[in-house]
Amino acid sequence: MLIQDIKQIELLAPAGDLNKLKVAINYGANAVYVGGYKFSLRARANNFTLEDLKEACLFAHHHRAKLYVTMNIIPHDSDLEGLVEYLQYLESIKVDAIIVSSMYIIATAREVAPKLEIHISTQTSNINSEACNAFLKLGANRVVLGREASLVDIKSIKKNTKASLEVFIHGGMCSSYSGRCVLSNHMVNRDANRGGCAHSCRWSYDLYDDENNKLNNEGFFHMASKDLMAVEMVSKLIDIGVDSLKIEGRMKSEYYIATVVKSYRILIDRIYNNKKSNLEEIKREIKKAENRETGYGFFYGHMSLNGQLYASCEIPSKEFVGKVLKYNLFTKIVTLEQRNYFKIGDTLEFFGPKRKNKLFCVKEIKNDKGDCLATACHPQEIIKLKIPFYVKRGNFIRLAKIR
Amino acid sequence: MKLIAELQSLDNLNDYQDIDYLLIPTSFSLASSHAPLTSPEIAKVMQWTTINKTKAVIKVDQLIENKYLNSFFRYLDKYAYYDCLFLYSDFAVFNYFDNKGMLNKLMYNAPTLVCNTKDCEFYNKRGIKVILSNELSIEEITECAKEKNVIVQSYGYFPIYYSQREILSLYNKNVSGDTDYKNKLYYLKEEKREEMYPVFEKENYTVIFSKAKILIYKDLEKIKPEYIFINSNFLKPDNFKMILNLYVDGIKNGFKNDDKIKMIDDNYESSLLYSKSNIL
Repeated sequence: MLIQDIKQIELLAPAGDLNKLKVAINYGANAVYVGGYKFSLRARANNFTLEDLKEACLFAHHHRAKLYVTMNIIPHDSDLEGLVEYLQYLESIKVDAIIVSSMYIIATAREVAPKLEIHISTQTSNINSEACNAFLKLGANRVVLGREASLVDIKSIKKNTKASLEVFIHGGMCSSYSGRCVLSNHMVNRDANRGGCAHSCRWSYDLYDDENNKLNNEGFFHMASKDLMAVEMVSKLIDIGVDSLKIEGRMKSEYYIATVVKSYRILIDRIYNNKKSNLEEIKREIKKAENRETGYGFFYGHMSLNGQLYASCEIPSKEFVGKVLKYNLFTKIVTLEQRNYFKIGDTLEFFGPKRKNKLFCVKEIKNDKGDCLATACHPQEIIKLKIPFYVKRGNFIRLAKIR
Repeated sequence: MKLIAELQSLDNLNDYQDIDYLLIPTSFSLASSHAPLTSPEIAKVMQWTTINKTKAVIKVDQLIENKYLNSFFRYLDKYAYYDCLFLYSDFAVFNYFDNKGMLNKLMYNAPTLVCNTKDCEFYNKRGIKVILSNELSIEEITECAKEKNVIVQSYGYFPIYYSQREILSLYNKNVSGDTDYKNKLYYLKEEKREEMYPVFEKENYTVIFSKAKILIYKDLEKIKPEYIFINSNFLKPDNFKMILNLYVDGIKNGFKNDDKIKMIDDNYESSLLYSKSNIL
């Protein structure tokens, strides 16, 4: 049997806007999930207009990728207006699936847009085979498992359900079961289950006993989770027969999506080609785009000490320095949009979807007017560099070594 | 209007004589500060409910990890054909009773997930009673309660965070402490806020509760739900008995004045009943 005849696992990436969707697909995603302006759980992502969704669908299908639209808010009555028309529109533009939590939206989609596949959102926290079977009977095609399912459980679930299974392999994790936390509603009056989560689980707390004695005398109490990075799990999940591997993060940057998707794409392709991968190298590559510590989540069972964060820490990623706007083959000048500081003497790394990364030591920096600069320090400034190799529009540039 | 409340302990069973549905805590119960009842104790309570014409509701509303599924189903097998209901939140329970054609024995309790009339209708059509979210306004609750089989929590603390992580024990390990945090009540206070949130950890899960007890009394005249639910978690038995009696009186004579309830325990809140939550 040829490798292309084997049904391969799907790599599913997030996209907060059309550019990110194109990046995700160009860098190797088999499917992308996006949110429209209604019914979607990331109120602060740019989200897609109806026209954007149509364009996204055309782009995805042209590249033999699938498009899933998130409709996974927990709706109040006032949110349900226009549901039927929206579902029918998604079906008409040939969206492949919707991701849903509300029982009413599931039932309505089945009735008015039967060609749309239904994927049950992780907001409903399904962590056993019988829950998957319940949703299968209710008309779902796929269940996105709760992140709390262990590898052993996932294997057993797969054996005992015919539902297609999607498993998170990368990105942010709720500290609670998804959908079961409304801290944000009660602390800042922002509705977590309608896209307003304020990430209250990442804040600092004091812990008291029932006699009002403060128990955390050295530093604050924290309950936040490390992000998930499941590079080691991918081959196991393929062996189990999971259908889709999901990357979290519709709010993440193009650079993050490119880095993470490309890394997992390379890993998955090497597994199917029976080639060994240097997992540490892949993890190092992914970490270049990460801004939080990572762990294995629940794959090995209940959450252990090193799956939690014990300080309020975000490490801003400074490695991403720019994006290629154009390259002139005759003058060998690359024009780029600066995103983070770099200077003469720094080694930059250019990377694109289907090519090896290339290194370049910065000897001269010019701005758009042709003035020489010692540093590129203004975000979004147009910068020109002379480099000896070809790079494509849209390629990303980062620091090869952190100073 | 019918009244639902959770049994605090066998010692105060007789306080529940006037209620309609009695929740029985088990080892599969979520967010229960009460000790789970053993099989003989459940049998005893079932006998009592039969005599008192009260319906027993076995509380099995934790999310069930796949590895525990078989033992959980064996547990359900013991009681499935008894004259009782089951309070659940995992859809494995839905599937179990659906396969037996007995969905009408269910009460759905994933309150953060039920926020509109149409979802209520989904459960009602199948004969399932459903507890509404506490993150709704009075107007929204009133609309939802027009559906049959809708349950409105009218008093008590309620969960606002449910995690499989043992967040207190993990913290304890991290600071190399020797405190056993399980099955005891603690409080969390965000560094810039004054409110104290009860937090309770059991084996394999943690629940954070609302900072105060929700109180809906006079508004019940307007909402007119088919069922009301009093959450007995962390309430002193004497106070709980008085509160229960005031709701029983309200059902009989109208919910006119909540001053007496406020006097029994002044740690109550209107939650989000009178404010509109923001999305951003």
